[in-house]
Amino acid sequence: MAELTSIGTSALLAFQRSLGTVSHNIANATTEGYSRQRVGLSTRIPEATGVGFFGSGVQVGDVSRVYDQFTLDRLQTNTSNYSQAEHFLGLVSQVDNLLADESAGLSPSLQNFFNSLQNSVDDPSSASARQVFLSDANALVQRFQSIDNRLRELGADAERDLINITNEINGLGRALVRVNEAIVIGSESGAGNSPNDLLDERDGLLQDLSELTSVQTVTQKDGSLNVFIGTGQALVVGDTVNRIEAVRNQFDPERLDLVVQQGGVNINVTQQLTGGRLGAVVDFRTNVLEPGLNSLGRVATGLGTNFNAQHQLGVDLNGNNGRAFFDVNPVDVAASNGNAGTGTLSATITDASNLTNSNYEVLYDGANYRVTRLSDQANLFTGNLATLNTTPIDGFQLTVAAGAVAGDTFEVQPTRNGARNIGLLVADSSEIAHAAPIRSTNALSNTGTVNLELGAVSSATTFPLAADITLVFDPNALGAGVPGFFVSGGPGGTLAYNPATESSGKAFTLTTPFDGINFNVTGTPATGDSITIANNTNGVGDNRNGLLLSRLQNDITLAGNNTYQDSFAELVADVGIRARQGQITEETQLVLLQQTEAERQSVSGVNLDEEAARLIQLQQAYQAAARVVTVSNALFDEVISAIRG
Amino acid sequence: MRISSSQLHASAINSILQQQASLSNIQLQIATGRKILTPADDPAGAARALGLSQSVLATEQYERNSDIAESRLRQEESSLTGATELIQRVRELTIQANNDSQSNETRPLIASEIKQRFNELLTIANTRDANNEYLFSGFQSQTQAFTENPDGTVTYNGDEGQRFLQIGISRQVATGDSGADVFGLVGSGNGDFISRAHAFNTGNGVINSNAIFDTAAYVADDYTAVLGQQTGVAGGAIAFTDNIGTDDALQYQLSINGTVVNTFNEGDSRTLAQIETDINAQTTTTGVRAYVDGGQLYLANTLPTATPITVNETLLGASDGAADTVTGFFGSNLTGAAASNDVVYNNANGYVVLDSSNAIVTSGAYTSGGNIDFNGQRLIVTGTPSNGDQFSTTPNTQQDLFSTLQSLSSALTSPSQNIPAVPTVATLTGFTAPVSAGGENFQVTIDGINLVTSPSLPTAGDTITGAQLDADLATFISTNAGYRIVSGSFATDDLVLQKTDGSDLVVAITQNTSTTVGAINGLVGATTNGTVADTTISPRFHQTIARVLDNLDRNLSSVIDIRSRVGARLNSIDDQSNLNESSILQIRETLSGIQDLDYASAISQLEQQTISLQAAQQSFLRIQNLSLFNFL
Repeated sequence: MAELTSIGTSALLAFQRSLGTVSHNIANATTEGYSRQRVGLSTRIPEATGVGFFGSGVQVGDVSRVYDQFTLDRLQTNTSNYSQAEHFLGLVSQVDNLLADESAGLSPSLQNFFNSLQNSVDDPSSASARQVFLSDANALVQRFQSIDNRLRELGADAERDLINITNEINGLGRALVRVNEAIVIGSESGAGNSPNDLLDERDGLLQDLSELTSVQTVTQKDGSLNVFIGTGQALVVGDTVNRIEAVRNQFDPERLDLVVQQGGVNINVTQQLTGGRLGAVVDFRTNVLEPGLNSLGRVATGLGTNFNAQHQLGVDLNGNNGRAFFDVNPVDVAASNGNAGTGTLSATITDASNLTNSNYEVLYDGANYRVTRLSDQANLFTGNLATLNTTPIDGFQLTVAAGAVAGDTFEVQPTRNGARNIGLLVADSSEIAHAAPIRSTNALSNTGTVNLELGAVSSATTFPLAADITLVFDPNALGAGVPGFFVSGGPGGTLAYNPATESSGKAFTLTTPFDGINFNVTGTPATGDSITIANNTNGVGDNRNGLLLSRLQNDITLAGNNTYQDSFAELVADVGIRARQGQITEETQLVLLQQTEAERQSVSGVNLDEEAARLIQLQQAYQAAARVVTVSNALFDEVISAIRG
Repeated sequence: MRISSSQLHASAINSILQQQASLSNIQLQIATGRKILTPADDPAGAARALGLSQSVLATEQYERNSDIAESRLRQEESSLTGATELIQRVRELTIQANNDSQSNETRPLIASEIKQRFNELLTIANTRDANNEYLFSGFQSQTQAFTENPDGTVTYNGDEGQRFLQIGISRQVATGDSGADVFGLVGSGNGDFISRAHAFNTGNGVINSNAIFDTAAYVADDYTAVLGQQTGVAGGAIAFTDNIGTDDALQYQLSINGTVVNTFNEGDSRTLAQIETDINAQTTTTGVRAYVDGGQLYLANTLPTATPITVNETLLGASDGAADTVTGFFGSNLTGAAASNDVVYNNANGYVVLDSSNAIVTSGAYTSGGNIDFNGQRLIVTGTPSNGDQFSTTPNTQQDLFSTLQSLSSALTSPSQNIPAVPTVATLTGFTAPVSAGGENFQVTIDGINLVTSPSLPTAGDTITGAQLDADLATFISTNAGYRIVSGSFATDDLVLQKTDGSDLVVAITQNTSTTVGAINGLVGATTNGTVADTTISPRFHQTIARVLDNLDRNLSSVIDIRSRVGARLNSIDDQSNLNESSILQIRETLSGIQDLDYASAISQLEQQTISLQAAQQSFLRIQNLSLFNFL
């Protein structure tokens, strides 16, 4: 009888526990990261008798959470990947939208600039056309600056993001250490049973961490976890957290690097911390923002340099040689803040059409300077100071002052600040140099058919000319029977020209320093026929230089066979491709994440119907167990009454 | 597979969210009409679209440039049209003025119109465009192109610059021409020469070609090729054969066209140069000039005439019949019996080329089509020229239009002030005999000398015929030295009268009648009783006018040439415009294909998406109602 009561009681207790767990499951049906729990029931130790073993009821074996470690690991990886893709997409979309806006992009300003240039060239002496062109030039400059500014704002946001994420990672690291400790203690006090809810909490923390960066874990014997982030950077080992710090880049104070202190030395782990939002920010900065700034800067610097060069070959409305039109940002060179030597480095643009979108690193190894293009890590130069100072690299020329010690590094940024710092130097519309500096005149008294056509001047060195350059034809200019021109003014001397064989055209370039002047002579001059090359005084209706300026719009003037417009379109396409890839990656990763989440839910999630069914089942079992106790009581009463009776 | 309750919710919500996202995307596409909302939607397409829209804008700019170019060229064209009409009007006036029916009184009237035209031309040449820029001053568009100096000459202040406009990506068009080109200030110096046969040439020689063949040797100058007789005369001692010593005092007399040039005695000797001097001493009388070059004596009429040159060699003093002989310089073997011989030269067989200072440059035998080379120039004449026929060449130095008008105007204002450079010739044509009655008289004077002597003074009822005037003229010439008839006669018209010393010839008709009795064309008949109308017919005037006409023609052709160039440019602009327009259309089409939305498919997609979303929402509602707890 007592056995019966004891069995019934054990069942009542076991079912009570089970009902409690079911209720716990129902209660946590929507708790994030919760794994459903199961009560393991087992038979109590049977009573051995001579006739056999009699069962003595049920007991609670353990309460375990239902989970699959493999799924959990995958969930972390997928979370990290998705979070990276999603955050990257968010960042790149901002740039994408900025460039997509037709009215906000560079294209309309660039087109307006060249269109109003042409309007002004059509009518070179019109002050209003010049003024419109000048204000469109100003608008172009502002557009360069505003796009640059927007990009830099996004960059600054990204830098702030880096600091926040680093702080979050460090915080999660500390939380993980605490939970680790609790789990170790819980496991010990639970006599080997797992503290399910703490484990769920730790999984939750790891899940949070996965959103920030990629995570790997190694379980220790005592139940604690060692946590590694990125490509294996230890964050939590035992009960210590390796803090990640954001510090200023050695070259660029606006850029932050992520470092870990190890043995008192900061180790740069920026590139190692992949995955998650952190990976997205670093990826965005490295592959979108910085190339974008460089690319935009290259358009600005290229346009500015080329436009200036051509503008300076012309003559303005006041008859003065054209001045620099744009204020072009020089090549920026930053010395590492870790440099021990006193050497300095400067650079100038030698050929804007060779500039690339990359930055360059110059390293002094004690004997030689090594120049590395950072975009493809190509080593462009290894040699001593003197050679470096005379070797142009990718459109710029470095000038090194001695004093560097081994290990000193410099970063060269040919175009980084090109768009930010471009300016307009011409403020007075009359200073726009539409005219060419010289013109040629056939003497009215010429009797031959000679004609001289001036080519575009290639150097402004000798302008304005101190004296007219006059060519006079003589059949014996270069000795008996050798026809040509006597040249007075300019370089003087003679120019051979034989009308008998060269009347269909002969090209001339005057000798240095007048080598900026070149022309083509055709026809048959008569003896004494003269042609004068003179300053283009009062040539306010001349638009030859203006035409050359407007040709810059369609000329291939930037590396990669690009016009300015092409170059900007390339930037738009690059960003567009990144954004497109970002979208695709985000979609893919989302599907993967949802699948894995579904798998986790499938294993560990609470199904309310299931719990309801179990509730009913346990309720019935509980009723039955209670019945056993009642029956036991009735039996006992029967026996008592029999004894009485 | 086991599904957890929250998963059931999450997946339903996820799918609804996704549907909503694509719905919003399609809605945005439909709202903007664009397929590419951000470059990410189609990076290559977006970059291409940027390039294409730039092309459209750039091409539209070329269109604007074309419009400007076209308007400038149209304006230039209208200026040139004005100039053309003006030149044609001036040409008419010139021809009118050149007509000898005009007098020194009427010509200045024409001159005043020409002066007005001159001012008009100046206005045209200083045309400004819509931007107040001078159309014809080259690069110096704000400098007045042409200014008139106090002396009436015009200075060009511009240059030869031409403004080009970009009307296509690789096409530029000039939108102007320099005033120097248009108004002929540039030595047209086409390497050609103005070469022409003398107006009075009587032979049928014509210029076949004239060009520089050796640039190095070329010396620019005016040259005249005089066609004449290569005589073969060598000069030297005169070979007399006197039968008895020198008793006859033989003389050799050389005459040209009836005038004795020299008479030589036995033992005389004469070099070629001396013979030349002898002949030229009588040129005014004989009208024949001698040239010596390359050991040859050339004879040529000073003015081209059909008259052959007759050289007469005569032996004088021969008394011994055929025994006294002499061989003349011109090859006649004269004997006492046949003491005289005419050597007659008709057509020319040689040429002498003279430069502007009348120095001989070269000489040679003439053959039809043969090269006449001098100072790097080659002149080829074909045909049979007469003695004295002349072919002249001058370097082509075109006079500008302003100077042309200027010299025309001054020639007309004071036609007689010109100093003639060549012998004066008056052409009198169309003589009509006076028919008059009652006390009038009539006289023609040449340089104040009465021509009509028979009857001494024509009076009422007298009829003077051309033949009578011719007879009078013959008498006049024989009594007054220094006049000669070049050709024609009063009777046959086209009388060409010349003064051999080159001075002006003043021909006048005086009459004393109240009615117009007659006129000699080229002279103006006086209409008022007792007045004397003098007409100085200066050949220089006609020469000037001829040159003016020549220049006008060339100026006109150069203006027309430039007009045709302007026309060609306008065509090229039209052409390019069409090209530009069709390229804009094409680019827009491509652009639309890249970035514009296909509404039909987008809207059907929208419908589909809406239905999907509704389905997702409804199914979620259904499913979330299914719970076992509902039955507990």
